Amino acid sequence: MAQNDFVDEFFAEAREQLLTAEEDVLALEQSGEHPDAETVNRLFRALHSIKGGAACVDLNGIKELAHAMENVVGLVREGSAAPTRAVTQLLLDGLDRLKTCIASADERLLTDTGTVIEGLTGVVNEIRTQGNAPKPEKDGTAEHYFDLKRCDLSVVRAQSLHLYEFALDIVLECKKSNCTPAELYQKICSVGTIIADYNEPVKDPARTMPCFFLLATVIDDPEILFPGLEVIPVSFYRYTPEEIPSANGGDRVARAETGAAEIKKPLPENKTTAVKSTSGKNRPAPKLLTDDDSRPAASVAVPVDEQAVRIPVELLDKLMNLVGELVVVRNRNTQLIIAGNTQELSVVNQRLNTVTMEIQMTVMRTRMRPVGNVFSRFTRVVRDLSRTLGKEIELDISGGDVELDKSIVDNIAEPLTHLVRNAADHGLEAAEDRLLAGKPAVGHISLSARHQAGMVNIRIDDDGKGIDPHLLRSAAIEKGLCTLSAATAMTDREAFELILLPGFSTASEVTDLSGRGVGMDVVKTSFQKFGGIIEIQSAAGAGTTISINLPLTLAIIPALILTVEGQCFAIPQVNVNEVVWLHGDEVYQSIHEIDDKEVYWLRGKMLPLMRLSKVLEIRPTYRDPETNERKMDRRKQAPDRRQKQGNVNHDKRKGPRDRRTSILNSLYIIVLQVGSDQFGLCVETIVDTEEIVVKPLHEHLEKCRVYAGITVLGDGSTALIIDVPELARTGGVRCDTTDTKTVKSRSSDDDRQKMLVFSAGGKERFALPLSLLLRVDEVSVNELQTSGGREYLRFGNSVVPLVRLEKVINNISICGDSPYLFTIIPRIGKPIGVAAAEIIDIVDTENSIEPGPVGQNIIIGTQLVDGHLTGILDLCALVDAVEPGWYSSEDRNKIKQRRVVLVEDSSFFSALLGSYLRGIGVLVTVAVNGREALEIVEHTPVDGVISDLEMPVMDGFELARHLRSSENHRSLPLMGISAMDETVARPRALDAGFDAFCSKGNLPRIISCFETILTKAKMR
Amino acid sequence: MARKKNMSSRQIVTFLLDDVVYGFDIRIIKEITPSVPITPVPLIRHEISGIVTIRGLVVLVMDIAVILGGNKQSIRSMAQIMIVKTTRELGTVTDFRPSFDAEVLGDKPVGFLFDAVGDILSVETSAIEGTPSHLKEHNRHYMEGVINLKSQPVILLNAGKLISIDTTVS
Repeated sequence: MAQNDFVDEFFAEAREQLLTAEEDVLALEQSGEHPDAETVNRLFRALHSIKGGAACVDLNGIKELAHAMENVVGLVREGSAAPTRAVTQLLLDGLDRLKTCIASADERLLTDTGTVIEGLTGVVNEIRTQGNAPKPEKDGTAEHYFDLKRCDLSVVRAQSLHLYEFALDIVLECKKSNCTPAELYQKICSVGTIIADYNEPVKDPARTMPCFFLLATVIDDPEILFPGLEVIPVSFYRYTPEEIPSANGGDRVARAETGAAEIKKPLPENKTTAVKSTSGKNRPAPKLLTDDDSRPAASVAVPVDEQAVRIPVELLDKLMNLVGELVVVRNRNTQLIIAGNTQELSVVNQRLNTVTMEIQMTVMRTRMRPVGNVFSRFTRVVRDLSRTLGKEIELDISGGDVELDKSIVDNIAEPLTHLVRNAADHGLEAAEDRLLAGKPAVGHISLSARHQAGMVNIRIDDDGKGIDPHLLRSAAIEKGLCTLSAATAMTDREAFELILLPGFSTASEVTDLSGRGVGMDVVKTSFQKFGGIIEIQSAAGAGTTISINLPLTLAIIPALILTVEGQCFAIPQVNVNEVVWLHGDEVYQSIHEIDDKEVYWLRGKMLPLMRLSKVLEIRPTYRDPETNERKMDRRKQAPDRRQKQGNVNHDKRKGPRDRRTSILNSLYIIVLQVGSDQFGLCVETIVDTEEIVVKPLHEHLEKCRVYAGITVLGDGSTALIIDVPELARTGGVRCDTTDTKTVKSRSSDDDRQKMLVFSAGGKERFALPLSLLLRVDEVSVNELQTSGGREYLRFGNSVVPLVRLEKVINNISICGDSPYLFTIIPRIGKPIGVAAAEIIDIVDTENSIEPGPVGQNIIIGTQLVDGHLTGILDLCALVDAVEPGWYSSEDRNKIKQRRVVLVEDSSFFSALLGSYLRGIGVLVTVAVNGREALEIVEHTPVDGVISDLEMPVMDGFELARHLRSSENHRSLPLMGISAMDETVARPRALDAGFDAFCSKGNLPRIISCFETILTKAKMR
Repeated sequence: MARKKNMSSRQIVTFLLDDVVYGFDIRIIKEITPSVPITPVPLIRHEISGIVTIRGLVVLVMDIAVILGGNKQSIRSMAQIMIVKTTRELGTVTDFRPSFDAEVLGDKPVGFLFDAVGDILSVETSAIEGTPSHLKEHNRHYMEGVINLKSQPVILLNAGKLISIDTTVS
């Protein structure tokens, strides 16, 4: 049984050893004549341990291969051999074989080592016969100077040491090393025990003095022993274990070594007396590799799922500390409970929250792996590629220490390899073509990773021939992937994305197009599995950049928790657009039936509905009013509640207590999005949004594709995670699951802001832009805390100040004594709460607003919403009113007295942003379209421009292009803003010449971003 | 670790489900839980009663009565579960009868419903008789044999076959 453990340990250790081996060999290859000593040593040590370990666990195949490799590396280490391409190729071949076998922990996978070993020993022989290396002679029939039977070999037996007999010319050696014989003797003693020594009498001891030693040492390899002692023995002999006489003739020293691959006489094989039996039978038979040579040159070893991982010690230390704190909190908790002190419990609970959160984050970090793990293999890939393609390619790797979840890192190797191959094969031109084009002959591919906007961005750049969008368009039309009009309408960027369509990959026009398109759709789906998004940018003749955005982790996702008939389910937040709450009679009146299916009108658009309980075939239940238990609804016919007068009168009481229209009725419609289609899911209650840990499904559960995973909720109950596209399919809603991007029309629709309308308790109505809000909560007045005359409210783990409108705006009626308040938490830099008495609605604003009352900066303007006069609030002014200096005062100092042109056709937004800019000391001139802006820029000195992208007459893109092409304004700081989807807008903006892009939703970010580009401009 | 080639007796844990007494070889049982809340899984085949979370571990719960008798699923909100070891946990036990491949147990734990747990019996292998031939072939597949007890026959079940119902059900 124990054998298995040793073998497993060997493989685990060997894997570790091999981690850097390939890199080291490649580094050696690069360094040519002068290999880096550290690298060589590391490689040597790695091979040496693998050899030793393999011998211990009886894996002779591995041992032989490692040994042969070790010999060659040893020669390099001594300086007798240079790491030529031939040598390194052999080493790499050997490494490949070792890796395959070690990765799968099965020696049977080690095949075709014969040729490699031959090659390696050939190299060794060659070097040796050149006469440079010290040749420890081995003579099997040499006289032995020592009679072993008379020597005390107990220490040899006891510690399983190796026994050498060797002769040194003391005079020569001492002269060489400039030491005394005594020092030499000491040196020898330091590596082992001298069992016997003997001086041969000579004629002239001053010139030469041969001395014979019988040495017992742990060093098994004479090639380490003698160079280590810095001596060249005249002769030496290593005793085999059999030759060592045993004490009673009984025990044998079971040793695992064969001798070094010496030249003259091959050593007898030392067969180990195998004490342990071979590996266990519980492993299933692995598939043997059929033909080694069938592997393509640039193959990437597929990693077996590691059963053990490496974690930085500091992370473990941190965990230990946190757990210690957890224990302290737990103890305090127990004390308080025993004492019945519930007051302090809330304090302890806070602490518990914090500690738990930190533990969670730290443990999550243990799953993070540096991307470098994947990147490092590409050096080899590119090297092999450049050989096979005959092109000179240089690979730059950066950002290797950016970390991603293990499950993602493990799986992006393949698609990335595909992309790198494409770049090398189809992107980079042949050397002659490059020279003709005026480029350096060596092609460059750069692979980089970095953090960006909460995601990890991986980029593959090449300076090859790029992609011609015209060719792409025509090819797409030919293949029937899009119509002529669509193709001409699409921008270059959209054209690049044609490559990612499935139809494209069947192209065999490697010469016509730049050749990419083979399997790109597969790459796209591979990344999509992890929530990754691909973007392609290219300039014909200059090169191509492929950029992938990946989320940091898969294992934890934000989800919406809901219940249906008492059962909890979770829906990933990424699919959820919004939640509509129907109550009272709306539940039955607003849902209409068409052809047996239910629909709901959502802001003028028809939303197909499905009821989760129906889709999942969950039987309706009801709560037994006496026992409060859930019981099956045994009614044969669900009452028809659509008509005002029900035909089956279950309810004896008529009048206001009609259950059909009771105010207690409530229903939630979760608006879900799959691809470009939406549908609504009806559920009874929404519990919360939570960040949940996704646990994989059992095999049996996988069959039911509606579920994407399982999660354990905060209260310990289990909830199933719904797979939304599958749900749509099951519910009969037809959804387009392909991610086609529709060409956006140039309307200023995007500028219509959604506003949240609410009241502060009186008749006045107010509104805030929905995009600036984070959440709306109902809180009890008791939950508010007061300090220094200000009210605060708990938000997550911190407190935020609460603004009551009546305190900052004059002459409005107040909230009254309602025990409950709605608080609206805006999405600005630091959160604050805004008190509201009643949330009225969400509406789309018109673009026209009337300016607000004079001298009042909190209300930007007013608008008629639903027939009521509604005051639109300036969030920033609101915050400033209650907490002056809530935003750092740094902002104010940096952009003081700059002149900025704000180009924006929505008067509402320009008022909003304009007021904010003015509030921090910037002089703002407003233009309603690009043309006006150009005129202003021509005639007045301006420090920077912030421009909307979509405007009539001249849009932001054109404005940027104009400015960039004119001499005077080429380097004017330009910033683009838009309410468009960021992933679409940003690249287009940057393309057109903007320095930066920000989404309209985040005002402070717009400011800080703009400030950055202004400072940059100043420094130029 | 000594290996018993021919064990003369085995430990069988017995339990009651729907008025029938069954048994499992105790070496494959990891844990027997008290009554725990069970979360049903809608739309799943009836042999699966739902899932249960024990100390953060998610266990799939199967209903033997449904597998054997094709009964309707009994809806429970709480249940007692007998949890079977995973392949890994079973790992070192090599000499095993029934000789199903331990791989089948998989890496995610599975448990079986029961109503009440009985004694752990020490049973001589000779006392385990073959399954009666007049039983349904479908059911015999899951049974290893019948233990001949004076008071009541105990049906010895093959957990591996129960867990992998997919491959055996026609």
